[in-house]
Amino acid sequence: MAINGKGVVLIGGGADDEVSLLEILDHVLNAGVVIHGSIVISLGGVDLVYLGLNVILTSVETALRHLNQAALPPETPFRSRR
Amino acid sequence: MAPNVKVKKEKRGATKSDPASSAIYLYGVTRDARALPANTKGVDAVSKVETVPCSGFVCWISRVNRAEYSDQLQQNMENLEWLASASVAHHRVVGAIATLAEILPARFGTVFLNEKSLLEDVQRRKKSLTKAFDRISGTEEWGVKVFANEAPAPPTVTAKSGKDYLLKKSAALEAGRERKPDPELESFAKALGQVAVDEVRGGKFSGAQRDLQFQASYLIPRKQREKFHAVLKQYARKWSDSHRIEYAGPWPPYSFVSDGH
Repeated sequence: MAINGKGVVLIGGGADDEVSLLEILDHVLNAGVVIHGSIVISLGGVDLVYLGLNVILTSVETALRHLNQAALPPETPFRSRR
Repeated sequence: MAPNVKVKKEKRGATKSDPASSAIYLYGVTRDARALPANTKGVDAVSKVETVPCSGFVCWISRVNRAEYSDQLQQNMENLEWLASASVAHHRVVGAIATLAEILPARFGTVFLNEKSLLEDVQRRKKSLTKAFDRISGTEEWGVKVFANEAPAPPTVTAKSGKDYLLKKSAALEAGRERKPDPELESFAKALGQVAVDEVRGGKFSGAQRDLQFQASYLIPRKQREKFHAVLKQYARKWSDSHRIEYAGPWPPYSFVSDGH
């Protein structure tokens, strides 16, 4: 299955395609039917986990952004000519 | 630990099949039993995936290490490496079942000490599970993200001191967050919503992705898939210079089976 419109990127959708970890986490965690096991992480506990993970993922994202910016600082003549 | 469960003293060298050292990990519930390929591995990449009849439904489970999946589950979930492999494995199993039967995926990390407590809980929830099956019947989940093609460069911060810099930087970030609702995005969301049975905005983990402007999951009747894609295509054409649309699916209906629905 493919969409040919410009600007659409299909992720997954076919058995051979891999979706990114972010996509999987977005769909799999904090979703799904709640059936309480004898032991199950309390919902509050899950939110704490998210908080921690968001910090990790956000810092990865921020680090990447900084790397990009360091490679191309906004004040360089190269950038301002573009 | 739940008071109604007697925990036997663990013997030395206890194996996984020993009920005292194993726990039951639940992937989801279907209406009927089906056969997965025999080599399908569970959430821990080792255990088998089994079915257990549950009050007229079928529960899909693995017998996993109790310490790893119950006592230390919370710590393990904070370990991104552990969480990444377990959640991907969980999704593989749920996805494989979903190709065979309509499934209510269980929340990641739903663990029972024994079959009895699993059966009791499913029995208690029979009504709401039946309702959830009716809701998702004939549907699939799709995730949609819209990115700005080019974000304006963040304003340069000039400051007298380190503290001054941090204060200005934080004010600038704060200002950047206050985004006005984009009428284009709203009409896009509305058009998708008209094809969908239900929708959930946002995503906990992708939120930090660069230039992400819109994110939602949609519950789409399988018969409407083409129509849904047509809307995506239409906006992709319209926005070819300004935005990039990413979508992923079909997913099992993860986002549409929790109690809020």
